[in-house]
Amino acid sequence: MKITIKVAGHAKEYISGGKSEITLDIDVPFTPNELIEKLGINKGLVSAITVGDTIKRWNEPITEEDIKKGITIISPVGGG
Amino acid sequence: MLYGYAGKIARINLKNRTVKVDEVTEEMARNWIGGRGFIAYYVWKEQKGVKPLTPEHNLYLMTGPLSGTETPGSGKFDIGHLSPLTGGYGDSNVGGKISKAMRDAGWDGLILEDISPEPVVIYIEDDKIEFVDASDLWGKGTFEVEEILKERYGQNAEILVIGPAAENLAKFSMIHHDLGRQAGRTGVGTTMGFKKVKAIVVKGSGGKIQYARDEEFKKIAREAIVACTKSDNYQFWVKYGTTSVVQWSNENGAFPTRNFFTSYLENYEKIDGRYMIETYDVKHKGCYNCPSPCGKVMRFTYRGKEYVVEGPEYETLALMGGNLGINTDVADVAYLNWVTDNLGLDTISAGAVIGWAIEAFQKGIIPKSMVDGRELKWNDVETAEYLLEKIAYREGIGKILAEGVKYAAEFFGAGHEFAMQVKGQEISGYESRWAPGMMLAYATADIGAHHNRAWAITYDISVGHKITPETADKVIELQHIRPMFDMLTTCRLQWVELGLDLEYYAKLLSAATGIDWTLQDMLKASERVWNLTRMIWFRHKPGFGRSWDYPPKRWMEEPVPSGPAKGAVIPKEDFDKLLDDYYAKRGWDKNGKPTKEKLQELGILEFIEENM
Repeated sequence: MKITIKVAGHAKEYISGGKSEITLDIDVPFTPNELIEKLGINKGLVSAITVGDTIKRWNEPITEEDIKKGITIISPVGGG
Repeated sequence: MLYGYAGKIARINLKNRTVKVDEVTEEMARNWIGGRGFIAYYVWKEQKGVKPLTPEHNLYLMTGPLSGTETPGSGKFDIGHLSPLTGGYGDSNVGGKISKAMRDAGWDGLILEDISPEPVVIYIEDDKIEFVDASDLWGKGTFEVEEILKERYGQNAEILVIGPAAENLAKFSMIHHDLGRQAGRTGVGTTMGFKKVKAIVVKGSGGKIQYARDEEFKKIAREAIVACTKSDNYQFWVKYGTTSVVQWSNENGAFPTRNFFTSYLENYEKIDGRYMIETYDVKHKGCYNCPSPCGKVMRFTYRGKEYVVEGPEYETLALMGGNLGINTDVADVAYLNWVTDNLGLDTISAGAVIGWAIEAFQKGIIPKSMVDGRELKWNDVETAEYLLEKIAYREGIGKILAEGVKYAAEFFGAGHEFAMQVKGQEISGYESRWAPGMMLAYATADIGAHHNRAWAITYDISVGHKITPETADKVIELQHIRPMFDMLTTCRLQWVELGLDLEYYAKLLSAATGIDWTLQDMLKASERVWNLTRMIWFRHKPGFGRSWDYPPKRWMEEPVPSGPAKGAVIPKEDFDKLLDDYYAKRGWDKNGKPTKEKLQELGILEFIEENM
């Protein structure tokens, strides 16, 4: 399934070259860990993957319903 | 006409009970902007030859030209001095509503001089500045005093207050505000306590400041607020604030654990933000005009009593949680947060000092006889609470620990290698043996170890935890951007977390002041302040130089024993090369002193030489 993921926070520069969105093909359901692996991102640059405002645990499935709510890669919080 | 500023600073002599007015000049505005820029300017100009905690030692409390305005996150306020903890330059910012009140009262800032003969509350209502006896408040905790003063002066009064720790001159005492915000670092509370100022109460009627292009300013500010709320991680940020960092920090081997012995806390989940939000009654709280409140106010029951605390946020979860080995429940950390806030101590330094004490005890450096026969233990709230009280009241072992971890190791002649401090200030919440940029940031921060000058850790991760030819550049870039916010006195979280374009701040500053600021000009001003604060250290600390810019030996000699960063360490020879690169790129000599050429470039050579 073709999906678009948002990328938020200061680590955008390292994750997506500064872009706010990434589009990719991925089998649904998938977990945050699988998403990160598919994108080839360093997991250390990701604080969380959210569906809406809710954090998905790393091995928790993301479903088609979740995709409709919007998926975001959240950068690590940048040091208070 | 100086737009964007009230144009005056109140110089309050506590001994004579007089108030004089310093004019804020256009030169000050153009060179130093405000906030920490004004603080550094004054410390250099008028504190030559002064030692902390003497009658000549001043405390500077400053707003900036964007404080208390429609700018998103404009509720910040900067307080600074020669630090009694380090002896060098120190400042600390506090969020809330105090800067708005100060500007509404018609003041850009305050300078507190000399010492009050008795405990006093300074009451400010517009032009009126009064000295009110505080003998009934002296000795009370910060929460109780703020509530009493709100009762006396009105709920619209904004208050800065110190606790018993500052009264007793514990060197890492903080100034508390708005029942949960602190100017925590460098012992700003200690200086206020030395002056016997229990509290400062501010009320302002507003309308005192004119902006050069008011409509344009408001329009840009509205756009900036909308941009913040449309950020893709806005909802996440508002929901979790900094509490979500605990998981990330552990997963990336950056979580201070048992006095920075290691960097991963087993079973950390019970002190992570997700657990806190899901388990407890947590409400959001923000500063003045903040569209993205990071504050999390937790209500919980502990030992049968109800508590409300703003927190714990990440630094407290790190230093009073992981650093003390506490992983039982976030309520344990929240309770210690409340105790520390009420006593008026910085949670970061307190957590680092207690962590040192526990390790020193377990290694036989601190004998049982000095701790009332107790065992000092990891993962033990009672150990932490016992030491906090001792520190705040300078009793027993507290007399030594209240001086900070550097002094404690010197006193005992042991434990230096795990005294987690730089320049005498305790390290905050990021274990850096796997993050060379972050280690450099801590080593070169201009107030002693503090993360908020340059948070370089994602850069470190992005390059595989290695030192690169660009590591020093990254740290320098961040050391100019981040403290710039402490000059404007606005929050940087809208930029760093929500991605607000930095150009907004140049537009806002230009519209507010009528001075044509570019972002580059502002960063140059920040670099100017950075070099000035560096010179303050050279002037006040004999022998200051390169040897003061190293992390603790633990970070250079002990590989991380466990967790994701197992085996990581940055040997001194590698750190030396990085430091050399940093100095060269800063235009400093091999001892880390700004060269005449650099000071000339920044337009401050004459100012420096006049007061050297």
